[in-house]
Amino acid sequence: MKNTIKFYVAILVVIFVVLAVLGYKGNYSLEREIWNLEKQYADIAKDPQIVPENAIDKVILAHKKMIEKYPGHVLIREVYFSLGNLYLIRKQNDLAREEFTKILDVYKGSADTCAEALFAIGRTYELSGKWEQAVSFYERTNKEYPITKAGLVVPGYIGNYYKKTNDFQKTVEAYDKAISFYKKIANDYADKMAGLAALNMMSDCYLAQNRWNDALQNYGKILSDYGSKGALLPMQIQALVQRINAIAVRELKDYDAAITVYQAFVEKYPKSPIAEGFKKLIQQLKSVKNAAPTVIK
Amino acid sequence: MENQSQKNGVIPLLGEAVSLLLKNPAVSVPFITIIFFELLILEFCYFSTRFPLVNFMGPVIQKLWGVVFLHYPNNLFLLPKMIYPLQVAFFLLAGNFLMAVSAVALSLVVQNQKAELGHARRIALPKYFHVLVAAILFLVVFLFLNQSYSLLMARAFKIKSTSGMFFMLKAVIIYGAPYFNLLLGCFATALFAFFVPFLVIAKKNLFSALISNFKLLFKNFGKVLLIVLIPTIFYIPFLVMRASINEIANVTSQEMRVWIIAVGYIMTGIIDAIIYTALTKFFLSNKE
Repeated sequence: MKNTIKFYVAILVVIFVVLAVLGYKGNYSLEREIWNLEKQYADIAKDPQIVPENAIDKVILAHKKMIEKYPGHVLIREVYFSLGNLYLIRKQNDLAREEFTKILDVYKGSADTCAEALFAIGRTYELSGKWEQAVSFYERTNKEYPITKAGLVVPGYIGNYYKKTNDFQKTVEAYDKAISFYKKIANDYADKMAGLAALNMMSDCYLAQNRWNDALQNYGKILSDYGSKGALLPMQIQALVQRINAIAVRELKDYDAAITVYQAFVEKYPKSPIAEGFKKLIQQLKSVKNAAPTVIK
Repeated sequence: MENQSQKNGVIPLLGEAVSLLLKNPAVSVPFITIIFFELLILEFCYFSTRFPLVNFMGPVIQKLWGVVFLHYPNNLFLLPKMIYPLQVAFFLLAGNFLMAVSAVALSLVVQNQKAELGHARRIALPKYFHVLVAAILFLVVFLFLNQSYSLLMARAFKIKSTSGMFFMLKAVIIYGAPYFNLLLGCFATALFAFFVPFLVIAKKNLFSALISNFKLLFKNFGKVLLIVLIPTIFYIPFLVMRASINEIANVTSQEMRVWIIAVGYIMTGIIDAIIYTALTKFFLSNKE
């Protein structure tokens, strides 16, 4: 029995060693290294105040070493960003900016990465209290990479900044500018994910300005343009329905506003798989409406 | 010896099973082989996202679960799901047969005959198809019990109470799921406790072995259930550890997920060896 166990263990060990050695040259061990490094960064970012300075130094050094070891490797992208963010945590905004600027050069072929890096550079200026310089980088992000994630976020982000700083005039201007940008993207990229993202961000701009009716109509458009074609996941549809109902009931105090959106969908796309669900929802809303106090009706 | 076993009760029978396993390689080696193959499957799945296995396993993983599971550490989260079908296939095609070989070897030991693994395998081999059917039957019952519990859990999730009797009931059903599933596994094992011994030792045909299994089982149900339950208790600390797998992996290393699975296989193998040897011993003492 002992010999059998020894024999089996030997086979398992040999196979393990052979496969580990053969697999060593692939990306797997690098992925593992990066993941462990990023976990250290995430732990610091969770609550930087309680992390000792020397611990942050250690993680910064580990990030630098990794970048030196694999400069420009496609999997190292996040390590560059984390290093910049670690400097931001240490309030060394200039060093952070240097790191983000390096990304523009190293990953010049990747629009998403460059957009993210430009946005991050803008953030370093914003955190240094230099809004004018920050906004120039944000606008560059939007202008050079309009349909990347960072490029799309920028117009709404600028509006939110002015809202936060109580600059009414600039808030209105920024949101108007953002809404026309999102409208253009939604038209130019209709039926594409960028178009959907633009419509969602347009709704956020309406919500930020308490333009409930516009937001409601916009959500209706998302349902109609994307929900009817099966481009939305069930949980996305559920989230849309929740928002529509919340706006109609809580903000507009008008059940019919939501009913009209669903009714329009059912009439336009009676054969859509989600139309049946909306029919039931309309009935439910009607019965709740009849039971609700007169003010809400 | 037979009467002694009958008189002695469950604990001495389990002790005797351990002693038989240690003294007779022909009885224990089939279980060691099962553990070996399960660890081999684990090793294969663990390395399936790396060169060279990724060349043919990569497209399969991508198609079935998505490209994210080809990367660290998502590949480790996928391991249990990936292993399960392979483990079931192994149990059906070889695992249950190896247990049958062990049962035959034990019967040879008890009859003071030459108990060699090759000899036991030759005796069990003609019954391979019957043993396969027995494994399928066991699996169907086990999955049925598991599925029933899943339905119960689905119902429990619908309970909206946040306190009181119903909330307690919901908490017991949901949080106790791994333990109830273990109990259901024990019940399924007990239900077919003597099916394989009747097939390969008493050489009965499928139907007659099943009837004889139930006859012997109903006469001794409490004792049989205890034979299965007592060694299974040793699996509970492992279940607790497995429930905290995320916390353990986050504090130590993500690879701990693999080690916990491996330890689980070894523990299950040892527990199964004791249970099935004790059940076969009990069968040999009581088959008449």
